Amino acid sequence: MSVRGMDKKGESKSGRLSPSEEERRFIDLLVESFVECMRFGDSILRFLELKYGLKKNDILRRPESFILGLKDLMGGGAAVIERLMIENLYRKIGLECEWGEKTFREYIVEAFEEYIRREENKRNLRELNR
Amino acid sequence: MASDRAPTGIYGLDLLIDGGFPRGSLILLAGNPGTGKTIFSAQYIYRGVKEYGEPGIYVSLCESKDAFYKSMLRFGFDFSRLEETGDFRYLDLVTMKGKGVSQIIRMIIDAVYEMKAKRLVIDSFSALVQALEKPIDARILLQTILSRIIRAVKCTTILVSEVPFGSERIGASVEEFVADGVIILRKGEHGEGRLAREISITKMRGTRLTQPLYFFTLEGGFRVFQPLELQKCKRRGRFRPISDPPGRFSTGSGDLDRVLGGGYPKGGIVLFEIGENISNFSWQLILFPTLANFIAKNRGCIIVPMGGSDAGLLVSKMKRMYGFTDDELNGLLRVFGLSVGDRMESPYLIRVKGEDIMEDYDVWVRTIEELKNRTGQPILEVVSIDTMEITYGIAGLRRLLGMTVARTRREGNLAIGIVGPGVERVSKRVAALSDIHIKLIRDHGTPLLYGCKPRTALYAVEIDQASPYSLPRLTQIT
Repeated sequence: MSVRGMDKKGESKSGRLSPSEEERRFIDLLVESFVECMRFGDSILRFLELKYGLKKNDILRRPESFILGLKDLMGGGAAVIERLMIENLYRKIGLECEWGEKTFREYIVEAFEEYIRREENKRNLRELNR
Repeated sequence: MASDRAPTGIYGLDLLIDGGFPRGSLILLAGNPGTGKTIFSAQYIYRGVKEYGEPGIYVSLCESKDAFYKSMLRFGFDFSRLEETGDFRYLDLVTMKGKGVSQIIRMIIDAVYEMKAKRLVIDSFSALVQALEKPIDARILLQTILSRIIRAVKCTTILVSEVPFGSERIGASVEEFVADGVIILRKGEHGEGRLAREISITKMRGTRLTQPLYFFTLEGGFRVFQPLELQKCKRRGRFRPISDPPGRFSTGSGDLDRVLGGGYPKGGIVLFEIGENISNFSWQLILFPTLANFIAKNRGCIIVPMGGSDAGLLVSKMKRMYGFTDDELNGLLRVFGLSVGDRMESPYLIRVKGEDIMEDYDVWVRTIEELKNRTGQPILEVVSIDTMEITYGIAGLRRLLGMTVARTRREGNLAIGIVGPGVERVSKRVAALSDIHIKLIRDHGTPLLYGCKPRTALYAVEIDQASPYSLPRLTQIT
């Protein structure tokens, strides 16, 4: 299963290679969003890694697995953390979060695509100004 | 033993909590300084690895590895060697406190996974909490991190909580609600102002707890005393006498000799006071070795038994418990028959009417002389004060006491008076005349012994399982 907009190799649907540096930065933002909304969040991430083999970039690549691991550990509390994490992520990117019927994956992909789009725009603008 | 339980490795504890801690549970171990928390925790890990094959981790935020290993050697726990097996790791995080709790927790999680640890001790949680930024973090750390992660990996964990002297609270108070089990170690007052080590199991998930408090000792490791009636010794070895120290008679029990500084003084008066709920077997376990030691040394013994006992019962017990023959007992034991139960005829039974104290006392003295002339040795006189009071009244008893004390001292014999519960007035009178005053009581279901004169520590009474005959094992619990 791949995140919308990317296949298993991390390539976008348009066939272009995803910007790995930007993807890394987005994953950092995801991790920050999680750690900031939960005390000892880094310990939880380490636990998820050890127990379920979920690495940090799997929050983007396997969001369902991440949520399942979190639910297994936190029970009903996982839903609250999920929501806080999305709110935090959207704020970091500068997006307004509109709550609807979307899944965690859909929110993450939407944020990722928007982040990539904005980064591309910034890059293009920089090249034009050069 | 149920597989959903992790044996604690604490002697005697598993019997009280259905076989051990619930596997994967979080146990809070709280207590004042010096109550034995570290020894409990160390023994849980050490025996867990050695005897149950469960890898363990000891996380210390208070003590360096070298200091811990050294101090545990005196309990027979060689952690240095245990570490070499790869099944034990000591995480010395004393200097890590400044680097943040997150870092510490991460290190613990890594170690648990790497070793597939089944046992974990965090000593202490109180020290970890001190390193937190906000008070609420203690609840988060415990409720959402430690308890959930530990349950997920089924690593049974002890969190040590330090309780300052004078405080009624356990840590930040959240611990006792989140933990699956709460064990409190403390010192309570027993036996006329003596402090005794107590363990309280106040909470244990899925476990029926029948009693709030038990005694424990740290001698030879952490051991909890069972609230059980002492079971009679089934082995029937022959009693081996103990030599008398200079100026003293051995009590026949090495442990009691040590408690009394060598035994009973020659020509001494001993008061043996028995509290409520003490079984016959419990007090006989303390007293009968003295009788056995006299008989085994070819010395005469003369007894006025307690109510409910008679000559036949006494003799059969001495045979069963210490392997004496009829010939030995017939020659050396004399039991005064004041009881209606003493109907049979035998060489050891001396019948008296119990009407005229002076008449009966003459019989008593003649019996002593007969035994003394035959053996050429001092005599042991064991007298139930209760029986004497019932038979001759308080005035008769006083008269008898005066005569017995003077004669015993003069002749260098040994006289032991036994007093049951409910006769405090008599006890006080005899206590004033005695050289040794021992009390046997029962608290938290455990028989306890202590000396009022001389003042001794408090000892738990058990049967010496290593002895082939009935001897007490006395373990200091103060």
